[in-house]
Amino acid sequence: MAKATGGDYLRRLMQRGSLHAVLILLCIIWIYPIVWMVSASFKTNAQMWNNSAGLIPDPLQLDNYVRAWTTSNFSIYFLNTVIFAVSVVALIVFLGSTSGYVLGRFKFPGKRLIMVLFIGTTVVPRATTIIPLFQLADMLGLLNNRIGYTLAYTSKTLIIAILLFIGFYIGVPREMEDSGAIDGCNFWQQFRHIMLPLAKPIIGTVTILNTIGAWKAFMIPLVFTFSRPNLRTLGVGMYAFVGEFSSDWAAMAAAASISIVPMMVVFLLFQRYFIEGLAGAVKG
Amino acid sequence: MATVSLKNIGKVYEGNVRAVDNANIEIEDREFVVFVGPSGCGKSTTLRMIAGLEDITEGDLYIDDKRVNDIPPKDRDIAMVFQNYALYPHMTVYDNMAFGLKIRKFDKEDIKKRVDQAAKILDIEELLDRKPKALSGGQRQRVAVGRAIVRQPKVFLFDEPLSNLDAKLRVQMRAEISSLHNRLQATMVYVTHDQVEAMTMADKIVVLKDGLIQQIGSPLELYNDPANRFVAGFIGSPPMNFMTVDVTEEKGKVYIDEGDFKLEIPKEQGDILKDYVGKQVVFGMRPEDLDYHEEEMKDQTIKCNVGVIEPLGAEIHVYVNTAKHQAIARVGPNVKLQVGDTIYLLPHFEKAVFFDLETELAIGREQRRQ
Repeated sequence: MAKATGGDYLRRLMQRGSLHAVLILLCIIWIYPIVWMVSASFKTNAQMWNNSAGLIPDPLQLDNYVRAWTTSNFSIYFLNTVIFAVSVVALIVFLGSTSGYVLGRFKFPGKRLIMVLFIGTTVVPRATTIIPLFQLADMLGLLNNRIGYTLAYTSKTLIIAILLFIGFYIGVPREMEDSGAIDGCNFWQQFRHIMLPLAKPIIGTVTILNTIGAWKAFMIPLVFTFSRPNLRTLGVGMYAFVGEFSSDWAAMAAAASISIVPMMVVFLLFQRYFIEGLAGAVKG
Repeated sequence: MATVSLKNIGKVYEGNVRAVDNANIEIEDREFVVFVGPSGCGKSTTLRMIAGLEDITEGDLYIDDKRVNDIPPKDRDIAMVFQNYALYPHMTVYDNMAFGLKIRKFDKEDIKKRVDQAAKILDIEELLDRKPKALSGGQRQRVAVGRAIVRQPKVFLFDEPLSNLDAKLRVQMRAEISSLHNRLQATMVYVTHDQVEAMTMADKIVVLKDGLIQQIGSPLELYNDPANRFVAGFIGSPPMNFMTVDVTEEKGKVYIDEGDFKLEIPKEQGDILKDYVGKQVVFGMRPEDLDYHEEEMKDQTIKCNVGVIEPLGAEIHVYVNTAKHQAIARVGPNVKLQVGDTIYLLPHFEKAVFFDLETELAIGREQRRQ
C-alpha cells in the first residue's frame, strides 16, 4: 500500500477542518434561537429589547418564570399538555404496533386496499380535513373534552407510526415467531413478549416524534377547545402572553423554556433508539 | 421419548407449488434421523410440518401414535433449533432458555434447576447474564440448543443448525450434538444440506430431491448401495464418478466400452448387466475404488490424463480426463504425479454401481444384496 505523504495529510486535514467548520456553523444557526430564548427568559421585557443581541442577562432575574407559571393558566396548560402527550403516545404506540404487526406479518384479504388508503391519507393536507373532523367530533360529542382532541390528533399521526412499524416488522426473521410458537406462545403472547420488545427502536422513534408533535400541537387543541379554554395545551396557551396592545415576551420566553424541558428529557431517554428506528435497523 | 411417523405426507403451496410429495418416513424412538438434500428439496418444509409450523396438505403425521396434523406446535411437545438460532435479542441467555418454561407456567425453582443443568451440559454457565448480541456464533448455537434441552421434549428438531458456523466450529459442534444425542437418548430429526454432517451424525438418512424421498437408510447403506444416481452423487466426498458406457458381450464375457477404453466386467457384475447388452448404462465408481497404476492392463484399466492434483496430506485427489469424461481418484500420499501425466486406473468392480441411463435407478440392487 502506498504511504501517505505530507501533502495527503494536509489535504485530509483541510477537508476535515472545513467540514467541521460547516457543521459548527450549522449547529450555531440551530442552537442560537434556543440560547437566545433561554437568555431572554432571564431578562426584563425592557432589557430584552434594549439589548436583544446580548446573551448574558444583567441583572439575572427569575420573575419571568414566576409570572409564567402563576399567571395565564400556564401551569394548567402544562398539565394538559403532559396528559395530552402521554395519551397520544400511548395510543399511537399501542395502535401503531398492533396494526403494524398484523399488516407487516400477515396476509389477509383487503390488506393491499388498506395499505393504499393508509398511504393515500398521508398526502392529504391536514387543513383540508379539519372542518369535517370538527363536524364528526361534534356529532360524536367529542368537542371540548380531552378525549376529542386526543383522538383527533392521534388520527393525524397514527398512519405514519403504523407505516414505521410495518417497515420494521416486515424485516424481522420469521424464525422469531416460529421460535415463540414452539416455546408455547399464543398470538398475543408472541406479540407481547417477542415482537413488541423487538420494536423498541420504532417505539422510541414514535415516542419522540409524537411527544414533540403533541407538545407543540396548535390547530387541533385550539379548534377542539373553543368553549373550554382550560383544556388547552401549551402550543395554544402560549398565546395568552400575547395581548392586543402589549405582550409579555420575557414571560413567554420563560414559559417556552419551561416547556422544552420535558421534550429534552424524552429525547434523552429515547434518543438511542431514534436513529436506529429511523434507519430501520433491528435484528438480534 | 417418542416415535414420529409420516404417512403419505404432502405439502402444496399457493399456486399449486408442490414442496413435498408422498413422504413416508418412520422415525424410531431415540433415533437420530437426518434429512439431507440440495436447496429446495423439501427437507426443511418436512421438518416444519413435523414442528407444526407449516400446515400439512396431504397425509398423516403421528407423534407417539397420536395424529398431530391439527395440533399447534406448542402442544406437540417438540423443541426446535433454527438455522439463525432465533434467540430473542432483548432477553438474556437465561431468559432465552427459561422463556418456554415461563410461558408454560413452570415453577420458578424448577426453571432455574433446568436452565442451570442445561447450561452445565453445554458449558455456558458463564454466559447466562449476557444478551445474544454479546455472544459468538458458537455460543449462540449452544444457547439455542440449551433452549431446546430445558424443555425436555419428546422430539428435538434441528433446521440446519450449523450452517452459519465456520468450518472448524462446525466440526466441533457436530461432535457435540452427536454426544448430546447419546447423553439425552432423545429422538432427533436434523436437517442439513451437508452430506458430511448427515454421514457422521445420522443413525438413518433420508435423502430428498425435488420434494421426493430418494432413499432412506443408514449412512453406509446409502454410501455403498445407493438407490439411484442422485443419491450416489450426493452422498460421498469427493462424489462418485459417472461415465456413460456401452455394454457389449464377446465370447460370453460382458464388457463396458467408453470409446477410449474398454473394461471386462467380472462375471458377478456381468450377470447384472446381461439385460443391458447393446445398450448404454452409467458406470459409477467411488474415487477410492480406482487404484492407480503406472502400466496399462489390457481390458482392466482406464487410461487417462492427469488434469489437477490436490494433495491433502493423508491422500491425494487426482482429477483425471478420459476422452469423454472427467473423474476423480484418491491415491496414496506418496504417489508422484504431474499434471499431463498419462496414468491408468484399475476399478474395483465389486464396488461399482451401474445406473439405468433413462431412469437413473441403480441396476441389480436386489441381486447385489443377495
